[in-house]
Amino acid sequence: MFKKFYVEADKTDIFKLYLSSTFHCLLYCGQGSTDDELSPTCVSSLLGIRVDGVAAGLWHTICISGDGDVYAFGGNQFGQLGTGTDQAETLPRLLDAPSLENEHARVVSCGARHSAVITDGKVFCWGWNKYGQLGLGDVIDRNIPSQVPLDGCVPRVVACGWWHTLLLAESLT
Amino acid sequence: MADVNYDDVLETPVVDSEAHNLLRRILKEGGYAYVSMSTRAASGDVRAAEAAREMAWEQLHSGPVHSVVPVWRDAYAMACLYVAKCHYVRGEFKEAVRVLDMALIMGATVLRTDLVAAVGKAMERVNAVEESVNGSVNNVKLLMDQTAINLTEVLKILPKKSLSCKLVHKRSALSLEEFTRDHFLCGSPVILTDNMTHWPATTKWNDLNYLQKVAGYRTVPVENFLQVGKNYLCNNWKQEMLTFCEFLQRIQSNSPRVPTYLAQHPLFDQIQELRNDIVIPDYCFVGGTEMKSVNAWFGPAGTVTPLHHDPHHNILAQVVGKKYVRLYPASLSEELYPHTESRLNNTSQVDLDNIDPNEFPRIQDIEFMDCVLEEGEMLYIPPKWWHYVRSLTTSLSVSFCWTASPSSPTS
Repeated sequence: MFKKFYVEADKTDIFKLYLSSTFHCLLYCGQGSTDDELSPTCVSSLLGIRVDGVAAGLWHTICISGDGDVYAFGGNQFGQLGTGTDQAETLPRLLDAPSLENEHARVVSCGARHSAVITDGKVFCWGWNKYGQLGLGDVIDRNIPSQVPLDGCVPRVVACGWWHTLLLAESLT
Repeated sequence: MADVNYDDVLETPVVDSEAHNLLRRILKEGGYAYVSMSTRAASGDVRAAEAAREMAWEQLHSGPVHSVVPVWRDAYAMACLYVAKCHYVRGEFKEAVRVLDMALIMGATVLRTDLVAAVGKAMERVNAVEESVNGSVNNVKLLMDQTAINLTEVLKILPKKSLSCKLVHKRSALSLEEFTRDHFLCGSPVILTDNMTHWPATTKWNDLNYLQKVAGYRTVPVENFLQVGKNYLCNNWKQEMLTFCEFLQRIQSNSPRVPTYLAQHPLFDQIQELRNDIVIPDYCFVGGTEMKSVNAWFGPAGTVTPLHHDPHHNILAQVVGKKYVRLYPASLSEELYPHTESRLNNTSQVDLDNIDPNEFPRIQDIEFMDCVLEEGEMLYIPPKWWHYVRSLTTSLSVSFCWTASPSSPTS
Protein backbone atom coordinates (compact mmCIF):
# COMPACT_ATOMS: atom_id res chain seq x y z
CA MET A 1 0.00 0.00 0.00
CA PHE A 2 1.03 3.58 -0.43
CA LYS A 3 2.32 5.46 2.54
CA LYS A 4 1.70 9.11 2.12
CA PHE A 5 2.29 11.99 4.47
CA TYR A 6 1.94 15.65 4.15
CA VAL A 7 3.35 18.24 6.46
CA GLU A 8 1.07 21.04 7.46
CA ALA A 9 3.03 24.12 8.34
CA ASP A 10 1.69 27.37 9.71
CA LYS A 11 -1.16 28.34 7.42
CA THR A 12 0.47 31.62 6.50
CA ASP A 13 3.58 29.88 5.36
CA ILE A 14 4.17 28.18 2.13
CA PHE A 15 3.12 24.58 2.31
CA LYS A 16 5.63 22.10 1.19
CA LEU A 17 4.30 18.88 -0.02
CA TYR A 18 6.24 15.84 0.71
CA LEU A 19 5.25 12.60 -0.84
CA SER A 20 6.83 9.39 -0.04
CA SER A 21 6.06 6.01 -1.27
CA THR A 22 7.52 2.67 -0.40
CA PHE A 23 5.95 1.16 -3.45
CA HIS A 24 7.92 1.01 -6.65
CA CYS A 25 5.75 1.89 -9.49
CA LEU A 26 5.53 3.88 -12.56
CA LEU A 27 5.20 6.33 -9.80
CA TYR A 28 4.41 9.45 -10.08
CA CYS A 29 6.11 11.43 -7.45
CA GLY A 30 5.40 14.55 -9.45
CA GLN A 31 9.13 14.97 -10.01
CA GLY A 32 8.94 14.96 -13.77
CA SER A 33 10.31 11.45 -14.17
CA THR A 34 9.32 7.90 -13.38
CA ASP A 35 12.23 7.09 -11.05
CA ASP A 36 11.39 5.82 -7.59
CA GLU A 37 11.95 8.11 -4.62
CA LEU A 38 12.73 6.28 -1.43
CA SER A 39 12.66 9.30 0.87
CA PRO A 40 10.23 12.20 1.06
CA THR A 41 11.05 14.55 -1.77
CA CYS A 42 9.67 17.99 -2.35
CA VAL A 43 7.45 18.40 -5.36
CA SER A 44 9.20 21.55 -6.47
CA SER A 45 6.78 22.57 -9.17
CA LEU A 46 4.21 23.20 -6.45
CA LEU A 47 6.48 25.44 -4.42
CA GLY A 48 4.78 28.75 -3.84
CA ILE A 49 1.38 27.10 -3.78
CA ARG A 50 -0.22 26.32 -0.46
CA VAL A 51 -1.42 22.75 -0.59
CA ASP A 52 -4.47 22.09 1.56
CA GLY A 53 -5.11 18.48 0.75
CA VAL A 54 -3.62 15.49 -1.00
CA ALA A 55 -4.84 12.02 -1.78
CA ALA A 56 -3.37 9.09 -3.69
CA GLY A 57 -4.75 6.04 -5.47
CA LEU A 58 -3.02 3.03 -6.99
CA TRP A 59 -1.23 5.07 -9.63
CA HIS A 60 -2.24 8.71 -9.20
CA THR A 61 -2.16 11.65 -6.82
CA ILE A 62 -4.52 14.61 -6.52
CA CYS A 63 -3.73 17.83 -4.59
CA ILE A 64 -5.93 20.78 -3.78
CA SER A 65 -4.54 24.22 -3.11
CA GLY A 66 -5.54 27.00 -0.73
CA ASP A 67 -6.95 28.83 -3.76
CA GLY A 68 -9.26 25.92 -4.45
CA ASP A 69 -7.40 24.63 -7.49
CA VAL A 70 -6.97 20.94 -8.21
CA TYR A 71 -3.69 19.40 -9.40
CA ALA A 72 -3.33 15.87 -10.68
CA PHE A 73 -0.40 13.65 -11.65
CA GLY A 74 0.36 10.00 -12.17
CA GLY A 75 -1.21 7.23 -14.19
CA ASN A 76 -4.31 8.07 -16.15
CA GLN A 77 -5.46 4.91 -17.87
CA PHE A 78 -8.98 5.27 -16.48
CA GLY A 79 -9.20 9.05 -16.62
CA GLN A 80 -8.48 9.30 -12.92
CA LEU A 81 -6.45 12.48 -13.40
CA GLY A 82 -9.42 14.35 -14.80
CA THR A 83 -7.43 16.05 -17.56
CA GLY A 84 -9.74 14.92 -20.35
CA THR A 85 -7.23 12.51 -21.88
CA ASP A 86 -5.72 9.15 -20.96
CA GLN A 87 -2.19 10.48 -20.95
CA ALA A 88 -0.15 10.07 -17.79
CA GLU A 89 1.42 13.15 -16.20
CA THR A 90 4.79 13.13 -14.46
CA LEU A 91 4.39 16.70 -13.22
CA PRO A 92 1.38 18.17 -11.39
CA ARG A 93 -1.14 19.32 -13.94
CA LEU A 94 -3.64 22.03 -12.98
CA LEU A 95 -7.12 20.82 -13.85
CA ASP A 96 -8.88 23.37 -16.00
CA ALA A 97 -12.12 21.53 -16.67
CA PRO A 98 -15.09 23.82 -17.32
CA SER A 99 -17.02 22.01 -14.61
CA LEU A 100 -14.53 23.20 -11.99
CA GLU A 101 -14.47 26.81 -13.12
CA ASN A 102 -15.43 29.07 -10.23
CA GLU A 103 -15.45 26.07 -7.91
CA HIS A 104 -13.29 26.12 -4.78
CA ALA A 105 -12.06 22.62 -3.91
CA ARG A 106 -12.18 21.87 -0.18
CA VAL A 107 -11.80 18.11 0.29
CA VAL A 108 -10.13 15.49 -1.88
CA SER A 109 -10.05 11.70 -1.76
CA CYS A 110 -8.86 8.97 -4.11
CA GLY A 111 -9.80 5.36 -4.65
CA ALA A 112 -7.72 2.81 -6.54
CA ARG A 113 -8.59 4.26 -9.91
CA HIS A 114 -10.96 7.15 -9.23
CA SER A 115 -10.97 10.60 -7.62
CA ALA A 116 -13.46 12.72 -5.71
CA VAL A 117 -13.47 16.37 -4.74
CA ILE A 118 -15.89 18.43 -2.64
CA THR A 119 -16.19 22.11 -3.49
CA ASP A 120 -18.54 24.63 -1.87
CA GLY A 121 -21.78 22.72 -2.05
CA LYS A 122 -20.88 20.25 -4.81
CA VAL A 123 -19.21 16.89 -5.26
CA PHE A 124 -17.26 15.93 -8.36
CA CYS A 125 -16.00 12.48 -9.27
CA TRP A 126 -13.97 11.11 -12.13
CA GLY A 127 -12.00 8.02 -13.17
CA TRP A 128 -12.92 4.34 -13.20
CA ASN A 129 -16.60 3.65 -12.85
CA LYS A 130 -17.08 -0.06 -13.42
CA TYR A 131 -18.85 -0.40 -10.07
CA GLY A 132 -20.66 2.92 -10.18
CA GLN A 133 -18.17 4.42 -7.73
CA LEU A 134 -18.50 7.84 -9.36
CA GLY A 135 -22.09 8.11 -8.22
CA LEU A 136 -23.31 9.30 -11.60
CA GLY A 137 -25.98 6.67 -12.16
CA ASP A 138 -24.10 4.64 -14.75
CA VAL A 139 -20.94 2.55 -15.14
CA ILE A 140 -19.17 4.64 -17.74
CA ASP A 141 -15.69 5.95 -16.87
CA ARG A 142 -15.19 9.70 -16.85
CA ASN A 143 -11.96 11.55 -17.62
CA ILE A 144 -13.11 15.00 -16.48
CA PRO A 145 -14.53 16.08 -13.11
CA SER A 146 -18.25 15.29 -13.22
CA GLN A 147 -20.78 16.66 -10.80
CA VAL A 148 -22.62 14.10 -8.67
CA PRO A 149 -26.33 14.90 -8.43
CA LEU A 150 -27.27 15.64 -4.82
CA ASP A 151 -30.73 16.65 -3.72
CA GLY A 152 -31.41 18.70 -0.67
CA CYS A 153 -28.10 18.26 1.09
CA VAL A 154 -24.67 19.78 1.30
CA PRO A 155 -21.61 17.53 0.91
CA ARG A 156 -19.21 17.75 3.85
CA VAL A 157 -16.73 14.89 3.62
CA VAL A 158 -15.91 12.39 0.92
CA ALA A 159 -13.91 9.22 1.50
CA CYS A 160 -13.04 6.84 -1.30
CA GLY A 161 -12.51 3.19 -0.69
CA TRP A 162 -10.72 1.01 -3.20
CA TRP A 163 -13.65 0.55 -5.56
CA HIS A 164 -16.35 2.60 -3.81
CA THR A 165 -17.06 6.06 -2.47
CA LEU A 166 -18.67 7.32 0.74
CA LEU A 167 -20.14 10.77 1.02
CA LEU A 168 -21.15 12.46 4.26
CA ALA A 169 -23.68 15.19 3.61
CA GLU A 170 -25.72 17.46 5.75
CA SER A 171 -29.37 17.76 4.94
CA LEU A 172 -30.66 21.24 4.34
CA THR A 173 -33.90 20.84 6.19
CA MET B 1 -27.60 -12.97 -27.39
CA ALA B 2 -28.02 -16.72 -27.51
CA ASP B 3 -29.60 -18.71 -24.73
CA VAL B 4 -27.21 -20.17 -22.23
CA ASN B 5 -26.05 -23.56 -23.45
CA TYR B 6 -24.75 -25.72 -20.66
CA ASP B 7 -23.96 -28.67 -22.90
CA ASP B 8 -21.17 -26.82 -24.66
CA VAL B 9 -18.67 -25.43 -22.18
CA LEU B 10 -15.01 -24.62 -21.90
CA GLU B 11 -13.32 -27.34 -19.95
CA THR B 12 -10.61 -26.35 -17.50
CA PRO B 13 -9.11 -29.57 -16.11
CA VAL B 14 -5.95 -27.92 -14.80
CA VAL B 15 -7.88 -25.21 -12.96
CA ASP B 16 -10.16 -27.82 -11.49
CA SER B 17 -7.25 -29.78 -10.09
CA GLU B 18 -4.98 -26.87 -9.19
CA ALA B 19 -7.48 -24.34 -7.85
CA HIS B 20 -7.19 -25.48 -4.26
CA ASN B 21 -3.41 -25.18 -4.30
CA LEU B 22 -3.45 -21.90 -6.12
CA LEU B 23 -5.94 -20.33 -3.75
CA ARG B 24 -3.82 -21.38 -0.81
CA ARG B 25 -0.79 -19.65 -2.29
CA ILE B 26 -2.83 -16.55 -3.02
CA LEU B 27 -4.11 -16.45 0.56
CA LYS B 28 -0.51 -16.52 1.71
CA GLU B 29 0.06 -13.34 -0.24
CA GLY B 30 -2.90 -11.66 1.43
CA GLY B 31 -5.34 -12.15 -1.43
CA TYR B 32 -8.40 -12.76 0.78
CA ALA B 33 -10.78 -10.77 -1.35
CA TYR B 34 -9.56 -12.51 -4.47
CA VAL B 35 -10.06 -15.95 -2.97
CA SER B 36 -13.59 -15.13 -1.88
CA MET B 37 -14.48 -13.86 -5.37
CA SER B 38 -12.77 -16.78 -7.03
CA THR B 39 -14.76 -19.32 -5.08
CA ARG B 40 -17.98 -17.73 -6.29
CA ALA B 41 -16.59 -17.44 -9.80
CA ALA B 42 -15.98 -21.17 -9.88
CA SER B 43 -19.71 -21.75 -9.70
CA GLY B 44 -20.41 -19.48 -12.65
CA ASP B 45 -20.87 -16.06 -11.00
CA VAL B 46 -19.62 -13.77 -13.78
CA ARG B 47 -19.54 -10.62 -11.65
CA ALA B 48 -17.38 -12.38 -9.08
CA ALA B 49 -15.10 -13.67 -11.86
CA GLU B 50 -14.70 -10.16 -13.23
CA ALA B 51 -13.96 -8.74 -9.79
CA ALA B 52 -11.31 -11.42 -9.23
CA ARG B 53 -9.80 -10.57 -12.57
CA GLU B 54 -9.70 -6.85 -11.75
CA MET B 55 -7.98 -7.56 -8.45
CA ALA B 56 -5.35 -9.76 -10.03
CA TRP B 57 -4.85 -7.22 -12.81
CA GLU B 58 -4.16 -4.53 -10.22
CA GLN B 59 -1.58 -6.75 -8.57
CA LEU B 60 0.16 -7.19 -11.90
CA HIS B 61 0.29 -3.45 -12.50
CA SER B 62 1.26 -2.13 -9.11
CA GLY B 63 4.99 -2.14 -9.55
CA PRO B 64 7.79 -2.84 -11.98
CA VAL B 65 7.77 -6.27 -13.61
CA HIS B 66 10.38 -7.76 -11.32
CA SER B 67 8.36 -6.88 -8.23
CA VAL B 68 5.23 -8.74 -9.29
CA VAL B 69 4.64 -11.75 -7.06
CA PRO B 70 4.38 -14.65 -9.56
CA VAL B 71 1.27 -16.25 -8.05
CA TRP B 72 -0.77 -13.22 -9.12
CA ARG B 73 -0.11 -14.07 -12.75
CA ASP B 74 -1.69 -17.47 -12.14
CA ALA B 75 -4.49 -15.76 -10.25
CA TYR B 76 -5.08 -13.53 -13.26
CA ALA B 77 -5.10 -16.48 -15.64
CA MET B 78 -7.53 -18.40 -13.42
CA ALA B 79 -9.94 -15.46 -13.16
CA CYS B 80 -9.77 -15.01 -16.93
CA LEU B 81 -10.65 -18.65 -17.44
CA TYR B 82 -13.72 -18.23 -15.25
CA VAL B 83 -14.75 -15.09 -17.11
CA ALA B 84 -14.16 -16.80 -20.46
CA LYS B 85 -16.25 -19.77 -19.40
CA CYS B 86 -19.14 -17.42 -18.69
CA HIS B 87 -18.79 -15.68 -22.06
CA TYR B 88 -18.57 -19.00 -23.89
CA VAL B 89 -21.66 -20.45 -22.32
CA ARG B 90 -23.57 -17.33 -23.39
CA GLY B 91 -22.36 -17.69 -26.97
CA GLU B 92 -20.08 -14.66 -26.68
CA PHE B 93 -17.19 -16.42 -28.40
CA LYS B 94 -15.17 -13.40 -29.54
CA GLU B 95 -15.29 -11.99 -26.03
CA ALA B 96 -14.12 -15.33 -24.66
CA VAL B 97 -11.17 -15.29 -27.07
CA ARG B 98 -10.24 -11.75 -26.06
CA VAL B 99 -10.22 -12.59 -22.37
CA LEU B 100 -8.21 -15.77 -22.94
CA ASP B 101 -5.65 -13.83 -24.98
CA MET B 102 -5.14 -11.37 -22.13
CA ALA B 103 -4.50 -14.38 -19.88
CA LEU B 104 -2.06 -15.90 -22.37
CA ILE B 105 -0.17 -12.64 -22.59
CA MET B 106 -0.07 -11.83 -18.88
CA GLY B 107 -0.56 -15.14 -17.15
CA ALA B 108 2.21 -17.51 -16.20
CA THR B 109 2.65 -21.13 -17.19
CA VAL B 110 0.63 -23.13 -14.66
CA LEU B 111 -2.66 -22.81 -16.51
CA ARG B 112 -1.30 -22.60 -20.03
CA THR B 113 -2.71 -25.88 -21.29
CA ASP B 114 -6.21 -24.88 -20.18
CA LEU B 115 -5.81 -21.49 -21.87
CA VAL B 116 -4.53 -22.92 -25.14
CA ALA B 117 -7.28 -25.54 -25.26
CA ALA B 118 -9.94 -22.99 -24.39
CA VAL B 119 -8.86 -20.46 -26.97
CA GLY B 120 -8.72 -23.20 -29.59
CA LYS B 121 -12.26 -24.26 -28.83
CA ALA B 122 -13.59 -20.71 -28.69
CA MET B 123 -11.89 -19.86 -32.00
CA GLU B 124 -13.56 -22.87 -33.62
CA ARG B 125 -16.91 -21.38 -32.61
CA VAL B 126 -15.88 -17.93 -33.84
CA ASN B 127 -14.89 -19.34 -37.22
CA ALA B 128 -18.05 -21.40 -37.47
CA VAL B 129 -20.13 -18.29 -36.90
CA GLU B 130 -18.05 -16.30 -39.41
CA GLU B 131 -18.44 -19.01 -42.01
CA SER B 132 -22.19 -19.17 -41.59
CA VAL B 133 -22.53 -15.40 -41.72
CA ASN B 134 -20.00 -14.48 -44.39
CA GLY B 135 -19.46 -17.67 -46.33
CA SER B 136 -15.97 -18.50 -47.50
CA VAL B 137 -13.80 -15.80 -49.00
CA ASN B 138 -12.76 -16.17 -52.60
CA ASN B 139 -10.83 -13.10 -53.70
CA VAL B 140 -7.13 -13.15 -52.99
CA LYS B 141 -5.85 -10.24 -50.92
CA LEU B 142 -2.13 -9.75 -50.50
CA LEU B 143 -0.63 -8.22 -47.41
CA MET B 144 1.93 -6.46 -49.54
CA ASP B 145 2.54 -6.29 -53.24
CA GLN B 146 5.85 -7.56 -54.43
CA THR B 147 7.14 -4.55 -56.35
CA ALA B 148 10.87 -4.06 -56.04
CA ILE B 149 12.07 -1.19 -53.90
CA ASN B 150 13.80 1.75 -55.48
CA LEU B 151 17.27 1.81 -53.97
CA THR B 152 17.85 5.50 -54.67
CA GLU B 153 14.66 6.41 -52.87
CA VAL B 154 15.49 4.08 -50.01
CA LEU B 155 18.93 5.61 -49.48
CA LYS B 156 17.28 8.96 -48.91
CA ILE B 157 15.49 7.74 -45.81
CA LEU B 158 18.26 5.53 -44.43
CA PRO B 159 21.04 6.78 -42.13
CA LYS B 160 23.98 8.41 -43.88
CA LYS B 161 26.52 6.17 -45.63
CA SER B 162 24.13 3.20 -45.66
CA LEU B 163 25.01 0.36 -48.01
CA SER B 164 28.24 2.03 -49.04
CA CYS B 165 30.86 0.27 -46.93
CA LYS B 166 30.80 -3.37 -45.95
CA LEU B 167 27.74 -5.40 -46.81
CA VAL B 168 26.92 -8.44 -44.71
CA HIS B 169 28.07 -11.56 -46.51
CA LYS B 170 25.38 -13.86 -47.93
CA ARG B 171 25.82 -17.62 -47.88
CA SER B 172 23.46 -20.13 -49.36
CA ALA B 173 22.43 -23.43 -47.73
CA LEU B 174 25.24 -23.19 -45.20
CA SER B 175 26.04 -26.42 -43.38
CA LEU B 176 26.00 -26.47 -39.58
CA GLU B 177 29.74 -27.12 -39.55
CA GLU B 178 30.50 -24.16 -41.76
CA PHE B 179 28.16 -21.94 -39.77
CA THR B 180 29.78 -22.99 -36.49
CA ARG B 181 33.33 -22.60 -37.76
CA ASP B 182 32.97 -19.43 -39.80
CA HIS B 183 30.42 -17.46 -37.83
CA PHE B 184 29.20 -18.86 -34.51
CA LEU B 185 32.62 -19.41 -32.94
CA CYS B 186 34.20 -16.19 -34.12
CA GLY B 187 31.20 -13.92 -33.74
CA SER B 188 30.80 -13.00 -37.38
CA PRO B 189 27.44 -11.90 -38.81
CA VAL B 190 26.13 -13.58 -41.94
CA ILE B 191 22.98 -13.70 -44.05
CA LEU B 192 21.78 -17.26 -44.49
CA THR B 193 19.82 -17.75 -47.68
CA ASP B 194 17.81 -20.71 -48.96
CA ASN B 195 16.81 -21.73 -45.48
CA MET B 196 13.19 -20.82 -45.34
CA THR B 197 11.74 -22.52 -48.38
CA HIS B 198 10.14 -25.18 -46.22
CA TRP B 199 8.38 -22.67 -44.01
CA PRO B 200 4.62 -22.58 -44.72
CA ALA B 201 4.82 -18.93 -43.64
CA THR B 202 6.61 -17.90 -46.83
CA THR B 203 3.50 -18.60 -48.88
CA LYS B 204 0.79 -18.19 -46.28
CA TRP B 205 1.66 -14.96 -44.53
CA ASN B 206 1.33 -12.70 -47.53
CA ASP B 207 -2.30 -13.81 -47.76
CA LEU B 208 -4.55 -11.43 -45.82
CA ASN B 209 -7.47 -13.84 -45.85
CA TYR B 210 -5.32 -16.49 -44.24
CA LEU B 211 -4.01 -14.14 -41.56
CA GLN B 212 -7.51 -12.91 -40.85
CA LYS B 213 -8.83 -16.44 -40.54
CA VAL B 214 -6.21 -17.83 -38.18
CA ALA B 215 -5.51 -14.73 -36.13
CA GLY B 216 -7.99 -11.97 -36.95
CA TYR B 217 -9.92 -12.15 -33.70
CA ARG B 218 -6.90 -12.73 -31.50
CA THR B 219 -5.66 -9.87 -29.30
CA VAL B 220 -2.05 -8.70 -29.47
CA PRO B 221 0.02 -6.00 -27.75
CA VAL B 222 1.33 -3.30 -30.08
CA GLU B 223 3.49 -0.22 -29.72
CA ASN B 224 2.44 3.14 -31.02
CA PHE B 225 4.73 6.04 -31.56
CA LEU B 226 3.12 9.40 -31.34
CA GLN B 227 5.84 11.02 -33.42
CA VAL B 228 7.43 10.11 -36.73
CA GLY B 229 10.71 8.25 -36.57
CA LYS B 230 10.61 7.87 -32.84
CA ASN B 231 10.99 4.71 -30.82
CA TYR B 232 10.78 3.24 -27.37
CA LEU B 233 13.38 5.65 -26.04
CA CYS B 234 11.11 8.66 -26.21
CA ASN B 235 8.17 9.49 -24.03
CA ASN B 236 5.59 9.60 -26.78
CA TRP B 237 5.27 5.87 -26.93
CA LYS B 238 2.25 3.87 -25.92
CA GLN B 239 1.33 0.25 -25.71
CA GLU B 240 -2.10 -0.86 -26.79
CA MET B 241 -4.07 -4.09 -27.14
CA LEU B 242 -5.60 -4.58 -30.58
CA THR B 243 -7.21 -7.47 -32.36
CA PHE B 244 -4.90 -8.82 -35.04
CA CYS B 245 -7.42 -7.68 -37.63
CA GLU B 246 -7.37 -4.10 -36.31
CA PHE B 247 -3.58 -4.28 -36.31
CA LEU B 248 -3.46 -5.39 -39.96
CA GLN B 249 -5.80 -2.55 -40.90
CA ARG B 250 -3.58 -0.04 -39.12
CA ILE B 251 -0.38 -1.12 -40.78
CA GLN B 252 -1.98 -1.09 -44.18
CA SER B 253 -3.60 2.28 -43.81
CA ASN B 254 -0.64 4.15 -45.28
CA SER B 255 -0.33 6.33 -42.26
CA PRO B 256 3.43 6.77 -41.93
CA ARG B 257 3.00 9.38 -39.24
CA VAL B 258 2.07 6.86 -36.59
CA PRO B 259 3.73 3.47 -37.08
CA THR B 260 2.05 0.73 -35.08
CA TYR B 261 4.52 -2.05 -34.33
CA LEU B 262 3.90 -5.55 -33.00
CA ALA B 263 7.40 -5.86 -31.65
CA GLN B 264 9.26 -8.44 -29.61
CA HIS B 265 6.14 -10.42 -28.80
CA PRO B 266 6.08 -14.23 -28.29
CA LEU B 267 3.19 -14.46 -30.73
CA PHE B 268 3.93 -18.09 -31.53
CA ASP B 269 3.33 -19.18 -27.93
CA GLN B 270 0.01 -17.45 -28.18
CA ILE B 271 -1.28 -18.40 -31.64
CA GLN B 272 -0.67 -22.05 -32.43
CA GLU B 273 -1.58 -21.78 -36.12
CA LEU B 274 1.19 -19.25 -36.71
CA ARG B 275 3.61 -21.40 -34.72
CA ASN B 276 2.93 -24.19 -37.17
CA ASP B 277 3.95 -21.95 -40.08
CA ILE B 278 7.55 -21.46 -38.92
CA VAL B 279 10.43 -23.83 -38.26
CA ILE B 280 13.18 -23.14 -35.71
CA PRO B 281 16.37 -22.95 -37.82
CA ASP B 282 18.83 -25.79 -37.28
CA TYR B 283 21.51 -23.18 -36.63
CA CYS B 284 19.78 -22.27 -33.38
CA PHE B 285 20.79 -25.65 -31.98
CA VAL B 286 24.49 -24.99 -32.44
CA GLY B 287 26.11 -24.63 -29.05
CA GLY B 288 23.93 -27.14 -27.22
CA THR B 289 21.24 -24.61 -27.20
CA GLU B 290 19.07 -23.03 -24.66
CA MET B 291 16.35 -21.48 -26.75
CA LYS B 292 15.58 -18.17 -25.13
CA SER B 293 12.77 -16.75 -27.18
CA VAL B 294 11.01 -16.72 -30.49
CA ASN B 295 9.47 -13.33 -31.19
CA ALA B 296 7.32 -11.78 -33.85
CA TRP B 297 8.20 -8.40 -35.33
CA PHE B 298 5.28 -7.33 -37.51
CA GLY B 299 4.76 -3.79 -38.74
CA PRO B 300 4.49 -1.25 -41.56
CA ALA B 301 7.32 0.50 -43.37
CA GLY B 302 9.17 2.95 -41.17
CA THR B 303 9.40 1.07 -37.87
CA VAL B 304 12.78 1.62 -36.25
CA THR B 305 14.52 -0.38 -33.55
CA PRO B 306 17.33 1.90 -32.34
CA LEU B 307 20.96 0.83 -32.07
CA HIS B 308 21.42 -1.65 -29.22
CA HIS B 309 22.95 -5.03 -28.43
CA ASP B 310 21.70 -8.25 -26.81
CA PRO B 311 23.58 -10.91 -24.86
CA HIS B 312 22.23 -13.80 -26.94
CA HIS B 313 22.79 -15.28 -30.36
CA ASN B 314 20.08 -14.05 -32.68
CA ILE B 315 18.68 -15.07 -36.04
CA LEU B 316 16.32 -12.60 -37.66
CA ALA B 317 14.19 -14.37 -40.26
CA GLN B 318 12.54 -12.16 -42.85
CA VAL B 319 9.26 -13.68 -43.99
CA VAL B 320 7.37 -10.86 -45.70
CA GLY B 321 8.86 -7.56 -46.81
CA LYS B 322 12.31 -6.06 -46.41
CA LYS B 323 14.32 -4.57 -43.58
CA TYR B 324 17.49 -2.52 -43.44
CA VAL B 325 19.90 -3.67 -40.75
CA ARG B 326 23.11 -1.96 -39.66
CA LEU B 327 25.64 -3.77 -37.47
CA TYR B 328 28.54 -2.47 -35.37
CA PRO B 329 31.06 -4.91 -33.83
CA ALA B 330 30.68 -6.19 -30.29
CA SER B 331 34.15 -4.85 -29.45
CA LEU B 332 32.90 -1.28 -29.61
CA SER B 333 31.47 0.41 -26.55
CA GLU B 334 32.17 4.05 -25.68
CA GLU B 335 32.35 4.88 -29.36
CA LEU B 336 28.64 4.14 -29.54
CA TYR B 337 27.74 6.17 -26.43
CA PRO B 338 25.61 3.69 -24.47
CA HIS B 339 23.10 5.12 -21.97
CA THR B 340 24.38 5.18 -18.40
CA GLU B 341 21.05 4.25 -16.82
CA SER B 342 21.31 0.56 -15.98
CA ARG B 343 18.12 -0.50 -17.69
CA LEU B 344 19.27 1.09 -20.94
CA ASN B 345 23.00 0.45 -20.96
CA ASN B 346 22.66 -1.94 -23.91
CA THR B 347 21.24 0.91 -25.99
CA SER B 348 23.13 3.63 -27.79
CA GLN B 349 22.20 7.24 -27.16
CA VAL B 350 22.81 7.97 -30.82
CA ASP B 351 19.83 8.35 -33.11
CA LEU B 352 21.31 7.04 -36.37
CA ASP B 353 18.60 8.83 -38.31
CA ASN B 354 19.67 12.13 -36.83
CA ILE B 355 23.26 11.96 -35.64
CA ASP B 356 24.34 14.95 -33.61
CA PRO B 357 28.02 15.34 -34.62
CA ASN B 358 28.80 17.56 -31.64
CA GLU B 359 27.35 15.23 -29.04
CA PHE B 360 28.53 12.02 -30.65
CA PRO B 361 31.62 12.75 -32.75
CA ARG B 362 33.27 9.35 -32.59
CA ILE B 363 30.48 7.38 -34.20
CA GLN B 364 30.95 9.00 -37.60
CA ASP B 365 34.32 7.32 -38.13
CA ILE B 366 33.34 3.85 -36.99
CA GLU B 367 33.13 1.09 -39.57
CA PHE B 368 29.95 -0.90 -39.79
CA MET B 369 28.32 -3.66 -41.84
CA ASP B 370 24.82 -3.38 -43.22
CA CYS B 371 22.33 -4.97 -45.56
CA VAL B 372 18.84 -5.01 -46.89
CA LEU B 373 17.39 -8.23 -45.53
CA GLU B 374 15.14 -9.75 -48.19
CA GLU B 375 12.24 -12.17 -47.98
CA GLY B 376 13.44 -15.70 -47.36
CA GLU B 377 16.71 -14.57 -45.78
CA MET B 378 17.91 -14.96 -42.21
CA LEU B 379 20.47 -12.68 -40.57
CA TYR B 380 22.72 -14.15 -37.87
CA ILE B 381 23.64 -11.51 -35.27
CA PRO B 382 26.34 -12.69 -32.84
CA PRO B 383 26.07 -11.79 -29.13
CA LYS B 384 26.77 -8.17 -28.21
CA TRP B 385 26.84 -6.98 -31.80
CA TRP B 386 25.11 -3.63 -32.01
CA HIS B 387 22.19 -3.55 -34.42
CA TYR B 388 19.79 -0.95 -35.82
CA VAL B 389 16.77 -2.13 -37.79
CA ARG B 390 14.40 -0.18 -40.02
CA SER B 391 11.56 -1.72 -42.02
CA LEU B 392 11.51 -0.62 -45.66
CA THR B 393 8.11 -2.11 -46.44
CA THR B 394 5.32 -3.83 -44.55
CA SER B 395 7.37 -6.43 -42.77
CA LEU B 396 6.77 -9.69 -40.93
CA SER B 397 9.93 -10.99 -39.26
CA VAL B 398 10.64 -13.67 -36.69
CA SER B 399 13.61 -13.58 -34.32
CA PHE B 400 15.16 -16.60 -32.62
CA CYS B 401 17.36 -15.93 -29.60
CA TRP B 402 19.47 -18.58 -27.96
CA THR B 403 22.45 -18.97 -25.67
CA ALA B 404 25.12 -21.59 -25.91
CA SER B 405 24.88 -23.92 -22.90
CA PRO B 406 27.98 -23.71 -20.70
CA SER B 407 28.76 -27.41 -20.94
CA SER B 408 28.80 -27.38 -24.71
CA PRO B 409 32.20 -27.78 -26.39
CA THR B 410 31.44 -24.92 -28.71
CA SER B 411 30.65 -22.36 -26.02
